[in-house]
Amino acid sequence: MVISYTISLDVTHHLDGRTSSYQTQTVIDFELQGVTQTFPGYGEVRLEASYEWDAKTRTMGAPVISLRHGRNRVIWAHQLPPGQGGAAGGTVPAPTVSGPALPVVEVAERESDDRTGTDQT
Amino acid sequence: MSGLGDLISTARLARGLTQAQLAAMIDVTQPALHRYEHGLRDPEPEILTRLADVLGVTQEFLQHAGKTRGAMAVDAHMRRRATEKATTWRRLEAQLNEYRMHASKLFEQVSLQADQIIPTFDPEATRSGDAARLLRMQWRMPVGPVRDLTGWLEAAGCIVLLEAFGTPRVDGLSQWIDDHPVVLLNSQAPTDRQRWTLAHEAAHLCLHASYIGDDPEAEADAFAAEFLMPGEVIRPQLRNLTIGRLTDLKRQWGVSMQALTERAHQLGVLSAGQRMTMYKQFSRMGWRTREPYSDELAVEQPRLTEVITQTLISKGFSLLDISKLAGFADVDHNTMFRPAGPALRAVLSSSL
Repeated sequence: MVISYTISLDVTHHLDGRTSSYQTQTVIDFELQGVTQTFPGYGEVRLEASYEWDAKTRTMGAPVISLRHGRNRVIWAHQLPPGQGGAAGGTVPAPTVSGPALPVVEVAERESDDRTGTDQT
Repeated sequence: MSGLGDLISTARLARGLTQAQLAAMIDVTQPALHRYEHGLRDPEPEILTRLADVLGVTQEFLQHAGKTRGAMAVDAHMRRRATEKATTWRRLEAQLNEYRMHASKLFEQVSLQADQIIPTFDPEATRSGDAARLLRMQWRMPVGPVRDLTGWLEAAGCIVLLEAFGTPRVDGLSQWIDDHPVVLLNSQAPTDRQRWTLAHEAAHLCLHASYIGDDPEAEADAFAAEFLMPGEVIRPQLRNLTIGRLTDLKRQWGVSMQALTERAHQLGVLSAGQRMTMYKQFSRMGWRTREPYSDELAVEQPRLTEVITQTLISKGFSLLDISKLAGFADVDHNTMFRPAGPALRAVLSSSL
């Protein structure tokens, strides 16, 4: 029997172990483990990998990979070590918007000998 | 009270001194100081010199008091909790009065040419929400969240000063006597709270510059709500609120989750029961006293006083000149008009 691993990255892992994604027929089929109808004798293990997502605080957690049978039955789930490259989590900075112009400062002419010329503290 | 008496009293309160303490510092009796403050007696020239030294102001600044429009010790609009001690907010009010006088002194030599103004409205004829919408229109502000609220106020010639009040129970205060309003803001408050305070103080400047109605604080809060969260724009976003959704909205609009919850309730998209449930969740997470994500918001940073300082420096004024222009005795006492970062100091030639 030939076994292959297929990993879906198009999901969100929640803190309570649930996953969520758009429920297309392809996704529903993907999450049901078992032999493929197309190639008898060809086994496929379907894993889902993504970052944990805290919906309350809108923050990303550790990367997680899980094996499940159907949406709600988790067979196992493991946190992955953080990778070397790339970046995840944090917040998207708000775009810098140029604000209004500050007033123009105009200074009255003074006699030059009014000035000290040095700073004394 | 005379102008000079008012100034002595205000400067003393701003420094948290009692009459007995200041009297001892200038080597007079407490009753004598009482008489100076109440205009019953004028201080002798040598006492005036000692007063200026102790208070860190110029003698000219002392004599200047009372000559400008508006009295010295004027009540300020203040956003504070009722539990704050009177001595604290009286001290802050005195500080604002003194800052206003320093600004007024400097503006004898410096003028600001602003593209926009802070308009004033009659609170009897214009509802708070309408005034907020009119202000946004007059300033041609973009639709949606207000970015850099301090910048908008400064663009209209308002002096905004950030200062650590030493208490979380006073958020800010404002006053408008001369041409340029002054807002004093607690730097220890979180950014979302500072932004609300700025909008609240802007409301006082727009609505209560010359007339105060029955409930100015409620009017200022209604103004701030509409100014920071215009109902027509934010209403669809406030439907089906959850904690997570409030987190998103706080980051987008720069206001607290509690303000968003209140706004949703005001706009009729959150029932009283749902509002109570939301507040229970806030309490469980300890967010009623300290909300998360405030440090992710763009900070409100005043720039106008620094721009004035830099302009004066570019015209050849030294920091001491600038300090004296504003009525401060020296650079160290000048906490208003100074460049960002540590103050520049003269380097002695022997040390080179």
